[in-house]
Amino acid sequence: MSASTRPIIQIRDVHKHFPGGVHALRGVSLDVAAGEVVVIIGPSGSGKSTLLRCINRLEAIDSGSIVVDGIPLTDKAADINKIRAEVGMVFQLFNLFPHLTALENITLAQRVVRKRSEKEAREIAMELLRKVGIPDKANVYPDKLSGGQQQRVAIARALAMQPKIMLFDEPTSALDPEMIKEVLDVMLELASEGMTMVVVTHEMGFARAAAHRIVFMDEGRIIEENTPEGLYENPKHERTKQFLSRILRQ
Amino acid sequence: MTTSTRESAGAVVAERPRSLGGALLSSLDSIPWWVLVLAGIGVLILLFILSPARVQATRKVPSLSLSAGRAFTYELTVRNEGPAEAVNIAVREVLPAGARFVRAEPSPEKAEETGLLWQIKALRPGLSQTIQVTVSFAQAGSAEELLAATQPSVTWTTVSLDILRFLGLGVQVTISVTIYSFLLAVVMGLIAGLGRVTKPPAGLRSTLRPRYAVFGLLRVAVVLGGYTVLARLWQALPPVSAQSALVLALAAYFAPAVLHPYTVSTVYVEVFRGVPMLVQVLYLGFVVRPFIKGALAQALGHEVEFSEFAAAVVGLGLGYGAYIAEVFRAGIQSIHHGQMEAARSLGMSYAQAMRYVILPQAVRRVLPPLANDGVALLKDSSFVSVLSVADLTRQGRLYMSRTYRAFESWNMVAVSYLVLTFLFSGIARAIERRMSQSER
Repeated sequence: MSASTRPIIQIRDVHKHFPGGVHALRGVSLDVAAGEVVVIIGPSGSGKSTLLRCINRLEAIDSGSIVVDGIPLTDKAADINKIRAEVGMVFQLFNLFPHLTALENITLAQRVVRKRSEKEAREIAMELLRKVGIPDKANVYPDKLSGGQQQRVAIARALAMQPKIMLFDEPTSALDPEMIKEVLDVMLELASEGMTMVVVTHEMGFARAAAHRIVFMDEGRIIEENTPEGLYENPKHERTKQFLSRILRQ
Repeated sequence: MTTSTRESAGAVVAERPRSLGGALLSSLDSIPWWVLVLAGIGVLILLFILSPARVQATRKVPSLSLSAGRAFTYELTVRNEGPAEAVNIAVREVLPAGARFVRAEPSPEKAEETGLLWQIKALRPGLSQTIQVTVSFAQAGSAEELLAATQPSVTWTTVSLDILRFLGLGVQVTISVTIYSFLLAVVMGLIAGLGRVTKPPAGLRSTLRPRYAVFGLLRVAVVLGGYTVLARLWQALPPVSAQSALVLALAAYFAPAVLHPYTVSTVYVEVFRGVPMLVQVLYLGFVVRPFIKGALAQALGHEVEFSEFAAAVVGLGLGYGAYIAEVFRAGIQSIHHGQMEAARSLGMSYAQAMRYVILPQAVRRVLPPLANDGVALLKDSSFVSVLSVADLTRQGRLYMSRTYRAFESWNMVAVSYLVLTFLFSGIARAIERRMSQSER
């Protein structure tokens, strides 16, 4: 649980507009240190997913700067594919490739992007499937997997690139309650191994157990950030109190 | 509770009396009505194709005792026993040794010492035609006995077999036109479809923005300057005139805004989708083909082979490529955008994500509409008959104008197309089934 102080993600005064006049991010600044686990919470439409997607440039920013591992994302010369390979992303709806088996889902980018041999990629994939607890599902197509199993394959697929940073975009909110734990367990294990993680989630148990910091966002701004204990027990802003009371009552 | 109800229902069914007719009717009931109708039509067509004709030639020789050298006349009766009409009948009468042909009514097509040949165009079932043959013999004897040494022979065919033989070439040509133009159409469709899903360029108004204008004018200067220098160095180039300078400048200024994959493929789709297929085939055959032949002949100094077949294939292929482009576009856009995001987030380039993630899924999805376009292309291949390409339609028309048998000709042409499209659908279904098996 010890985080070094070197920031691996530097976000400075980022603004993002969507077509139709939505001002999704209004001057967001955030530093994430290597090895740190940051949880972002906030009501829907607060810009937390948008911020996450900006970190690997799935969304382009309008102004400000984002530096990932020393490379500015706004730099036209930066090879975005190289940066993305270092930043794993896990989606709310898993986004597994339905025409490939679980194993092929994990080996595809290894072979195409990392140029690993078929054999090496399969070995890494099998090792990761063991790590997420479903080595027996290697040759199964995604539509024959449960939601929790699909999300674990998706995590393994991102980890196969050996990223320095993992982004999680509400990884458990599309899951049945009994499957949430199997995904959170994998994420907890990852956090304990010292992976840098930025997680958008409302799983307070996970935040308490793994997060170094919780960031509360609303209307495109970071309202408040603190340790889990500090934020839950002693929220400073009225908006944070409101939101937490609603979340924790559930 | 539920199981007991089900058991009692089963008992009721088992008690129902069953007769052979009832069983037959209930088994017919489970077949869709259109299958029965198609099967009925199929049987009728098979009967038409397979029903034979039996043609016989018999002599009716008068009972005469002949002296040497005396001429006599006998009847040669050609009769079609049916059940089908016989056509292209060739009657061969072989005369025995010592016989000499004098004359015949009607006179034979060929008359040689070894034999006589008559050709009869057609003979309906149950009808016969009589030929009066006059011969003389070198030796004396009974006419019947003298002639009995040889027998006349007949060869014939039926209308359906005759048309089939004639249409065989047409079927081959139609199949090859379809295959070549479908391949071209799929390649063009894939390229244009990929172009259509790219982000559209900003539009011509963007060419007036200061940033574009600066780079645009810079390009114009480089191109015009470069051309002037080149024309100096290489005397073969035409010198810069006011008109060519204007064209070059406009091209250099607008190229990035106009030569965008989206724009190019959209223009292609709209143009080729908007011109009737028949006009496209005619255009390729009578405008593009002579133009390219002429231009190549001028450039190379000798004639270049560019067949009407090739023109027809290019015309059909480019036309259907426009439809298939939209099929591919719809297929690609139907794949959830999360797939592209997941692929890109793993570090794949846009092209890699297309190649390994989006297209494999999209191709499976577009197979049914693709097969649809394939069948439509096969039928529209009949347009190539307006060029001198001997496809099914052209052969059918040729047969009709030769024999005046419109009913038989067009029926057989229609049936041939039906058989080809059924084959095509069958192949498409088999591919679809295999692909969906590998997905699940």
